[in-house]
Amino acid sequence: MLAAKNFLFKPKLSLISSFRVVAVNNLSKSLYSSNNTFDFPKKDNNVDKSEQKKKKQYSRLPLGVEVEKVDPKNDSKAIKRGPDFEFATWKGLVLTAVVGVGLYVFFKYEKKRLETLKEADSNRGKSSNGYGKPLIGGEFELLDTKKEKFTHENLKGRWSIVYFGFTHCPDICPEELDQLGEWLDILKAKNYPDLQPVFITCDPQRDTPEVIENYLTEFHEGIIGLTGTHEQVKHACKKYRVYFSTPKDVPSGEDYLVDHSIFFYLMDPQGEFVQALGRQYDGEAGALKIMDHIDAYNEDVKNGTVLAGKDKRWYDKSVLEK
Amino acid sequence: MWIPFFSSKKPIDNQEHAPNRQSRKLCWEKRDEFFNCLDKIDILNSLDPKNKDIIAKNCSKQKADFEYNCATSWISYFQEKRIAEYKRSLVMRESEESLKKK
Repeated sequence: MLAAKNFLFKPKLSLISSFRVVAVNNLSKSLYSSNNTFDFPKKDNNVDKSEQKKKKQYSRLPLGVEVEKVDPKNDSKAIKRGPDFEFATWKGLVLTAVVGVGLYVFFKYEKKRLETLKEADSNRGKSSNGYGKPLIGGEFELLDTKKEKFTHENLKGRWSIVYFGFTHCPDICPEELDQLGEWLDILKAKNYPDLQPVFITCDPQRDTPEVIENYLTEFHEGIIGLTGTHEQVKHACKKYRVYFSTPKDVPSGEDYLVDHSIFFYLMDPQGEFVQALGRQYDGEAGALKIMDHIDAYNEDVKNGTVLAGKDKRWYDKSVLEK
Repeated sequence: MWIPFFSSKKPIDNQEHAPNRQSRKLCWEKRDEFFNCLDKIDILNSLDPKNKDIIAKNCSKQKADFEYNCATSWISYFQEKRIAEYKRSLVMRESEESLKKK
């Protein structure tokens, strides 16, 4: 039954397929002939046929369109055809380049400024994203090397950088204090002279004001050295979340080490914590970071929007004049 | 040679004032000399009693200089730090290599 069906259908199918072949043949013939009629005139008989075959050229014009030769000088139609402003002229290119570079520089600067502000803001705990405020900084009362009281109030009115260490420190503290000196020099050279460097000891037992004064003479001038009673120092360290441990029961006169965390704390002119600078900011990077923070802050003061904490903190414009 | 608990106090151990830049520098130089010597005899843990004899045989002078010129509390600190830094460098190298493989 199935075979019979196939047999019945077969002639029909072959008929259709043969018809199709004929149709395709006809079409190709007509295409071929039409191609021939629009072919380029063979001007150069010198070129041999093989090369001509390779360089087969196609007309850019649609088939059947006659080329209209227009003289652009006489024909007003031809001039009006395109847009009035030509984008590809050198003026256009220059304009695009200038605008592009200008926008790029502007956005890059703005982005950096906003990022720095955001970073400072979030460290102050007043950012819109609602991150908690790192509880770094706060009240403390210590003695400077002239045995005068130095408190958190003394951090207000200018930028400060606070470092915790001890004078009998084997290698890290002296290196870090040299680092601080380097930053201060860079900042001074770049016209940011008014930074208050503060060194707070974690070892009040040995580091009396005299010892600290003597010690700091070997480092950058102007570093304020602070000490106090064990309780006062412990309190200050706690406020700055500085971990330190002094070994217990050291006989007097014996040498010992004080374990402590290593950070520089950048504090803004309102005495608020801005950023902790660890060893990843060694070298010029730290100075640049500090400058970024000062710039971003000053910009904010100028705009009258001293961050979100203005309800809480005072500021005065004299900060800018300094 | 300076012997702990027996010899008189080292100048750098004076608790009345902090070591100055010069004495720190001297200590660091002697430390580096001692550590170079340890590198040569391929000793990592110079605090291990096991290595005591070989250090005494090869680096006794460097060790004595190091111990005399550095504050007492720094002596073991620097040696521990050397071990820690070596281990750190190993970890760093390992992680770098594993990153390269990816």
